[in-house]
Amino acid sequence: MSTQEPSSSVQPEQADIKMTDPSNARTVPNYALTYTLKGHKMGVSSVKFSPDGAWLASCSADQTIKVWHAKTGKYEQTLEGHMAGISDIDWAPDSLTLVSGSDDKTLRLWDVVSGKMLRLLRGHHNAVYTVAFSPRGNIVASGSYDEAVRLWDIRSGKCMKTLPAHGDPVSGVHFNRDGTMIVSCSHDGLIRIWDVTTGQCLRTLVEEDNAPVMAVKFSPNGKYLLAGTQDSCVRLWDYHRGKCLKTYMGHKNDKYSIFSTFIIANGSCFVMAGSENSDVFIWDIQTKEIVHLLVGHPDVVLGVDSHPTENIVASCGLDGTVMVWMDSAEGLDE
Amino acid sequence: MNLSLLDPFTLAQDYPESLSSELRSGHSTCVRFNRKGDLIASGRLDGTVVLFDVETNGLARYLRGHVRGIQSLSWSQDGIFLASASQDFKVIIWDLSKQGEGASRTIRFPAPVYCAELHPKNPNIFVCALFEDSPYLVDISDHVPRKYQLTSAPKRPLQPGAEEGEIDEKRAAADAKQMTTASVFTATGDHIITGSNKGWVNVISTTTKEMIHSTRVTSGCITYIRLTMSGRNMVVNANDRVLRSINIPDNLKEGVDGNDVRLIVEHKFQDVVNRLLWNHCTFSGNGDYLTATTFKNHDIYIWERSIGVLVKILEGPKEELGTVEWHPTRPLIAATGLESGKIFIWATSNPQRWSALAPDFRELEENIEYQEREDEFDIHLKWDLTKRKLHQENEIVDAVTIERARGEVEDGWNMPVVLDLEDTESESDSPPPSGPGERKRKSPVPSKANGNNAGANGNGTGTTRSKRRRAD
Repeated sequence: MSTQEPSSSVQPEQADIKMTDPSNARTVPNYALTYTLKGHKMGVSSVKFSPDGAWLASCSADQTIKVWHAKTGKYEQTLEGHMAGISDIDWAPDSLTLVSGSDDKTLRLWDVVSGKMLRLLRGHHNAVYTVAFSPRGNIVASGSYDEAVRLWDIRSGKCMKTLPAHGDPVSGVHFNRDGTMIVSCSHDGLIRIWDVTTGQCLRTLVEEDNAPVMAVKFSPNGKYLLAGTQDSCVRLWDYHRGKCLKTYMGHKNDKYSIFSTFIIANGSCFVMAGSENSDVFIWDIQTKEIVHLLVGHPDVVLGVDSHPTENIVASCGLDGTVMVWMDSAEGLDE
Repeated sequence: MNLSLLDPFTLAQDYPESLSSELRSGHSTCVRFNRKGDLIASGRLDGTVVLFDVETNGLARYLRGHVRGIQSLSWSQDGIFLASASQDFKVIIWDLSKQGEGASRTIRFPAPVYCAELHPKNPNIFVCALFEDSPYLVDISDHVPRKYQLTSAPKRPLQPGAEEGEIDEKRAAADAKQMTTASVFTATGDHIITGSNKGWVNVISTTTKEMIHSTRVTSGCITYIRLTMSGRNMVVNANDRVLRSINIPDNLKEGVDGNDVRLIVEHKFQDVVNRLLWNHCTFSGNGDYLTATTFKNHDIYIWERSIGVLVKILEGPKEELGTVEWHPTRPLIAATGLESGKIFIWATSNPQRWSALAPDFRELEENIEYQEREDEFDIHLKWDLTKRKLHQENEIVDAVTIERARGEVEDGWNMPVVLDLEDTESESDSPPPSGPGERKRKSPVPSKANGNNAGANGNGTGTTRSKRRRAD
């Protein structure tokens, strides 16, 4: 008895620490398949929630973009105009405009409300692989099979800068939180960080094996990079030190351009990625353990995204569907 | 956020080195950066105000309302409001968060407006100086703007024992003829600092509208007053060819006794050899540097403010420059060309660092002899290495919490991106009137009034000539 007493008085303290330390509060939402959005005639390459959380946009090899209500899964409209399959889309920060990049070598800006095309951005010499909006919504970055990264002034619709970025197709671009830097990645295995104002390369990251990098993204606070490579790994980089901090494994990625992203849920952070074995993988960001597996897609999962405010994630894949997964605990409350 | 990856030598560069680009929309007469530094407003000769995006160098917004040349521009602290003063007797306050109807308020005055400045805390209040009229403090909170006329006559210290005599009457009569040619708010907005055509700097309380202090800093006409962003220093441009930097006393706050205020000239900046007249002047964002454009000359001078030494003369395009503005955070200077109406941008040049292009590149000061590491050519099993590496990945990462760098401001308000800009560039891109003489004739305001608008930006030769006349 006497020996147990002090230990029991310590326990509540430890519990407190566990609660306040986000690294220990590992409560992954219990995502369950809520909606399966059908409509695309071919594989869906990318899916993105709008920043205000109201919309979900998906783009496909069938040359169309479809916009859905994020919460209800209701179909809203189809944006048509591209002459070839669409590889990537991104939302403007005001959630009113979408940018899409297509194999027809162009980027297009769309007014989501009216469905009209606002701008046609020409300049790339080959298929556009990836697009990203700047946080202020004035610049769009794009990466292409022509191995360049281009920055576009969307007001004028003109190309501002062309960065001779890589030696192979540029598979991912992303702006950091304040819009001062862009990260790009390529099949040449390099991840490069660029200064938006000067257009100069600030840092290059490379993994020893030089595996093609298929997607890259800044962390929500802009301190780290998340990069998926074709050696079936997703890596978290500290770009200041040029060091890989975490490697997330278990999924399969050796052929397609598969997206990975962060999930912030229940006060902690997770990493999510699609996989060629048709599941969606969710890892704990610290322990690198697989904490959740979303099973439902019959084929390769290409795109994943998480809702900006609520515990909702979306995935899309070669099967032509978009799946919306909601926290089943939350669903019960409603 | 990119600061941590930038070359420290580039970052140490405080002022720009060379002409880097130019912006063009109509004939620009004055420019002003917003506090965040993402937009630059340009007032044109035709009365249009255009906003350029500093990141893209592209046009972001047209603001139409004035019918004659813009004299001055002033941004509110949060960047939502912009005040423009024009020769057409109007000041317009633009609400950039709105568009179309109700996005602007127009306030008319009985004379052309030299300059209008928004209160640093309340964008519903502004102060303006008019051509040959009293300055006004205007409150537009209500539907009908309330205008308070301010005095231009300096507050002279009472002569002990002096009687109401002929001399004082004369002096009072002379003082009554003084005109306010420049007006600004202090950083707190508690006081207004005005400059007169007889070289007096006056301090007026914003609440009581009473003049609390006056100092004569020069005998010439004051053409421009500018405060640093911190509000601790100001520069007074006068047509005696001297820029004077003045420390704003710490006690200049709400309720201070005017007798305790001391405005002491810290440094005088002048070119003794060339006897240059300064067109316009401004501080750098941190207030460490002072820069000025020169009359009938193509150069921009940059001085270190605290020591008072000239550090750089920027070579410009082959034309005289009017308004000069310094970017609030970056070593970047914008100035308007008087002839062409273009906005010229000077910036630092940043050569690409080769070490950034590959992770194992390093820039070396000198050759070093390569030392082979002990284990450099040891053979390890690959999977063994990978396993060891994976095992070491036990660092706790925080990918969510935003750490703001020192001095980094909250995100604040961003002007919405408008994609359907009016397509009227063809009209505004028409070449501006070429010679100064021609421009003067074409100028909508009678030549005298036009000439006196020199406060913010010389409008060519005619302007500066009358500027001198005004000082007589």
